[in-house]
Amino acid sequence: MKASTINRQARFLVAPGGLLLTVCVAGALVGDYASLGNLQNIGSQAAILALLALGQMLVMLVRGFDISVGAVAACSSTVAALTMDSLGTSSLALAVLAGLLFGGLNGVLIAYLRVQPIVATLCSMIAAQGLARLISDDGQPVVPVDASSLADLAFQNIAGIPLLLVPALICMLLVGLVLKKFTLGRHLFMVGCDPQAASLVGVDSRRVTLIAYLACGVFAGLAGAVLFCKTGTGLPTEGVSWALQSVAAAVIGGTALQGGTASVWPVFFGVLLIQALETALNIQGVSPFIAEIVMGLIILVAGGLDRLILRLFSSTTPYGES
Amino acid sequence: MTTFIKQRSAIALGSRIGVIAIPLVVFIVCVLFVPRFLSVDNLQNVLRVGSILLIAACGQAAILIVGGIDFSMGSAVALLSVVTVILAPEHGVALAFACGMCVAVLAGLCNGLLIAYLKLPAFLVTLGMLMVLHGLASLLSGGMPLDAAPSPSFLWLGSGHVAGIPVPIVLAVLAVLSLHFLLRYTVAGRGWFLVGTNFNAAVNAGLPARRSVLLAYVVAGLFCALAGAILTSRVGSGQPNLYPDLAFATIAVCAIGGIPLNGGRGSAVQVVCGALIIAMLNNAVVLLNLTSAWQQLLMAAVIAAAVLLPQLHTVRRRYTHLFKGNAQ
Amino acid sequence: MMKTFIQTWRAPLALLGVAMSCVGSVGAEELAIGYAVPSLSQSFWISSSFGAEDEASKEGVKLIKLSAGGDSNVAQQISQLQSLIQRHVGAIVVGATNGDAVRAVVDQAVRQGIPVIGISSPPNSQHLASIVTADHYDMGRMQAECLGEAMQGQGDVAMLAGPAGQAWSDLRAQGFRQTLKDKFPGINVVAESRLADNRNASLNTTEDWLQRFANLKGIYSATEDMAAGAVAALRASGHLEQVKVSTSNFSPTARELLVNNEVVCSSVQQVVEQGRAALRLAVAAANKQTVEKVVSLPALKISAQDVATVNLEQVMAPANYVP
Repeated sequence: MKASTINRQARFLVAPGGLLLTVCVAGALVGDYASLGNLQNIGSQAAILALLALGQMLVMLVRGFDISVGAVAACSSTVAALTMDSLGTSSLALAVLAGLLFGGLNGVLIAYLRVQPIVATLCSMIAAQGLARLISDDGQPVVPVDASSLADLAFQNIAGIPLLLVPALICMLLVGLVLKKFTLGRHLFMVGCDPQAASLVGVDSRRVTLIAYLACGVFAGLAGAVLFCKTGTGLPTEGVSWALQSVAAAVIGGTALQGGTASVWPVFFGVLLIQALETALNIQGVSPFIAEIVMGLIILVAGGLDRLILRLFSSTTPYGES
Repeated sequence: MTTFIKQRSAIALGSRIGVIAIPLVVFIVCVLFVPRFLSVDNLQNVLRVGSILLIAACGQAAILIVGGIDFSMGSAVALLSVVTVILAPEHGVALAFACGMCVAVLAGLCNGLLIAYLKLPAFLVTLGMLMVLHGLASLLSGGMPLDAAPSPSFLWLGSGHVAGIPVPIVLAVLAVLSLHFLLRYTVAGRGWFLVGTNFNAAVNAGLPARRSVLLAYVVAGLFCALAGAILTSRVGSGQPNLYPDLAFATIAVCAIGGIPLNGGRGSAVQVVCGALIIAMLNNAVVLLNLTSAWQQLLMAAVIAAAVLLPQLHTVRRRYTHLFKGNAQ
Repeated sequence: MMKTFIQTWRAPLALLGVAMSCVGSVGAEELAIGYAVPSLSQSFWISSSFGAEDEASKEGVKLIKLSAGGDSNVAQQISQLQSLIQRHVGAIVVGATNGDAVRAVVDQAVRQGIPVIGISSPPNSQHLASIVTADHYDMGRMQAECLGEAMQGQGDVAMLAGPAGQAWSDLRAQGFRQTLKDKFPGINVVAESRLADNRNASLNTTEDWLQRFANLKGIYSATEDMAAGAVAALRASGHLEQVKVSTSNFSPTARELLVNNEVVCSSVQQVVEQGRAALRLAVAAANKQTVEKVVSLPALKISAQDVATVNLEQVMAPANYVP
């Protein structure tokens, strides 16, 4: 019983285990690392990536890919900045709406028009970048007049949790709830495991896929709003590397690339792991090039950690292991 | 029954024509609307730039067919350029290029070993390699671009001619022919299709599936090395940020050509069509003198159109039965 | 054997690990100065970080260099500044990816008692201890002057203006355009690229421009790497005599271009000197001494003739320096 549980859960133990290991090792080697202030720091630094990885997890659950999340977040932050002066804080809602629109575009292209996810999201990524440049005077960051107070507020903590991280935590709670308790969540897993079989039992896989992409777009838009709050400016050219990072975080968090398997909190730990490693390298002050090599090696190895956990902690060898 | 077969062959013929038709359509549109597009010099430029992308995309196609993916091409090419430019002054141009190309092939070999034999996920492995190779290239070059002495022998690969045709184009043609040969006429190449469709089934059927995957990554490393050598020669410099978007560009080329990302299908013709479309598009947006915003919006629109047009007849077929009932 | 050991003792081992990390390591005693720049793949920032590092070793302080990995990686830079604050460094030198966007985190650093020095692309904060300026507008103006003269006031110019939305590239482009309009009205700017920001992309774009614009007589480039790409395209198509190129920044690449007369001039900042100045100010501020508010080092225009005489030590890092 216990052996099979560990087998099934091994992929979801990678991220928490890795995070624990990182905090211990870095805490021992780097001064001042395992303190509350630093952990709060890591939390606020990871806020944007957490939202993006959450959306990415949903999309990967239905056998898809969304490389437009970074560009959509940047475009959304630009939209928020442009409308801040006239609309006040409801400009953040507009940012989320922009994300929703791009998510809808992706969803329709992929679910209903049968375009491959990578092509469709590549298209919307380029379109989002172009749109962001168009509305922002060819890529100039947009500075609203009274956003400075917003940015100062953003770095506060509430009940010990960084304020920037709160939207991500709320979203994760919601998604976790939907995946476990609602039929939609069950349908997402079914479509991810086998779309044809799901159709045969009456699940509209196209609609479910569309919903997954819509959610991913909403989270990307929300990430753009968080970016705007953090910086007080709209940044049309940001986020170029965020797409791959979010997929990496989701995969480290146990989401299967071929769909059908996902869990919310390990993805969060995956994001924290990546951020914790970067912060450790930054605080230590190693040469930036060596830091990059170290991060690359860790990501490289992260894929094999689930089988390492199996070997170390499982008392029987799983059947079929070669 | 006969109508069914006729329908199937018509669709097959249609899709094959479809793949070649799109670059033709793009070409005609460019000739009509883009100033100065249809000149010998400009077309040579387009083909020369497109050749580099095409050769790299051949490598990516092999990997996609076998069911993997490679994000590290941009950094492999960068490391190749840095190694080549560092070695060229003391050891001669030919040896320097050979060493650089070996580095790129080694990178492909590493990817293949980690993915096929250690069974690490291709996504994470190549993403990690992207960062590792970029860091190595930065370390070796000190972060800054290095210049190669502009000797004719160094620049030959990028700017030279063979019987009046630019070298990159000749090499691209050879690369495409070898990919076609590999995919159609060798056991190893045809095995890639099987392994890409279903890895476990291939293993059970007795295919050397892991070796097949490793071979695909090594072959891709060879293509990537060739593309990188031509690029280094053309630019005359070794730098960590030589072509950071190369991996994405090759994936776009393959996807636009119609090669699915989950493996099992693909052909050299598709790669050529995709590369031509992207090369012509990149040329067109500069000749049209669009601002960067409109350049990107136009690219997105054309890519969407290029992918959707072949789908139109299947989409219409799929949805008419909703209205007409049981049409067959 | 190992497996059974770990399996049985996994809980106590985990607790031990956590306990060790909380105890922490021996904190560094020497003064640490943070140095956060947008990217370390341009000669500009590499040279200034050489100046800072050299000065740091002379003063006996530890320099923590952090690169955001790209001119537009604002969120990454903010995270890095947060990490520097967490480490309680003595002072931070910031070359901002975007001056407005990092203002909030810079103010946070100042509130926690860490003085912040701006260098070249300073944060837009009211609480900076000092600024070491680079006059990017001036660099653009110098390019316009020497390129306009080389073109003899006639012809078309295309601009390789670098990434959009970055103060350094925007100000240089502004200086160039404005000076052209004022002093050389016979010259038209026919094209501007904000997407071609490395050598390969500049090479391809220049090739396409040569096809499109028959009257192209000059090319402006924001960095010497872009200029090298443009020159490679001109050389390959035989247009080197017809089209003049001007650039900014100094590096071995720029020196080669100047010596071979492939660019008419390069407008440079004394970047190494700026790095040194920034570090000295940072150390002084960390030791709670008063520092001057603005340190401004003038730009220089280097042409083919000047290359032999200019003092390169203040302008360029040594060839074998690795950040």
